[in-house]
Amino acid sequence: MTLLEPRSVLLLAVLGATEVEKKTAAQERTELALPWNVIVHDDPITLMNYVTMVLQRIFGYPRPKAHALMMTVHTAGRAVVWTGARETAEAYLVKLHGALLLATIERVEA
Amino acid sequence: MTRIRVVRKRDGALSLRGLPDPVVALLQDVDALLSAPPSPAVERRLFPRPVDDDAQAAEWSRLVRPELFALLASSREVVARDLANRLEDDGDDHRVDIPAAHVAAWIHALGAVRLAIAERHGIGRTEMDPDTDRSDLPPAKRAAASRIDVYGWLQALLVDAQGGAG
Repeated sequence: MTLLEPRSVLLLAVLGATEVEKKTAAQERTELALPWNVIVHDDPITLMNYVTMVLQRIFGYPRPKAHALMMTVHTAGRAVVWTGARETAEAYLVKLHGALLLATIERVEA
Repeated sequence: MTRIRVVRKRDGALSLRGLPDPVVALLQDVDALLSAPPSPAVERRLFPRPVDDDAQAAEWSRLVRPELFALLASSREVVARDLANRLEDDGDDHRVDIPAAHVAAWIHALGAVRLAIAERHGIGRTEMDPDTDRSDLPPAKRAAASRIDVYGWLQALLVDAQGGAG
């Protein structure tokens, strides 16, 4: 699939600006160190084999892992498909939205 | 019994064969359906919120939406162009050869048009449940659900044929 290239530096700069500006340097370092989850949400229209394919292609997961994550999305309504640095999470999010999946990111609670 | 099938070529191109006239007409509708100005519901589904925070979501939309919109436009244009240039007779039916480089756009456009139709007609989990008796649905909604099925079947054929989930 033709997917968007990550523009994570720009996105990080914009999405993070309002909140980070108000915090101390120590708080900022702590928050930047916290990982972020990339979450895919279920929708009743998108095909299951398509979701599996997208997870394989975007994250490079082997089919069994991609299939298992897809099944978690299908049965539980959502699945954390990746966890890590915010910048990378945003880049993955752009790709998932480009692939028409319902996806969000959220900070992992400390 | 359907004769629709996909033949995969050595170079990764796919040939969608045995397409009857009504299915060709549905495929030719993809461009128009995705070109129409999206309703707020379609907009929300095709360009979803990435985070709970309103300000961050607005910034995300400002930055990312134009690229997602361009990607969608590109995909529907590829489908329209292939149907205009590559549609041929296949016995009593038709075939369209999809170059390898276009397969992703076809899969993308078919997925998008399913989502757009679903949002426009308020079709969700209940209507898509195989156990739902669609004869109880209003005619327009029932027809829309059937279109979603056909597009989904074609999309699944293409995904499987290119080995995308394999």
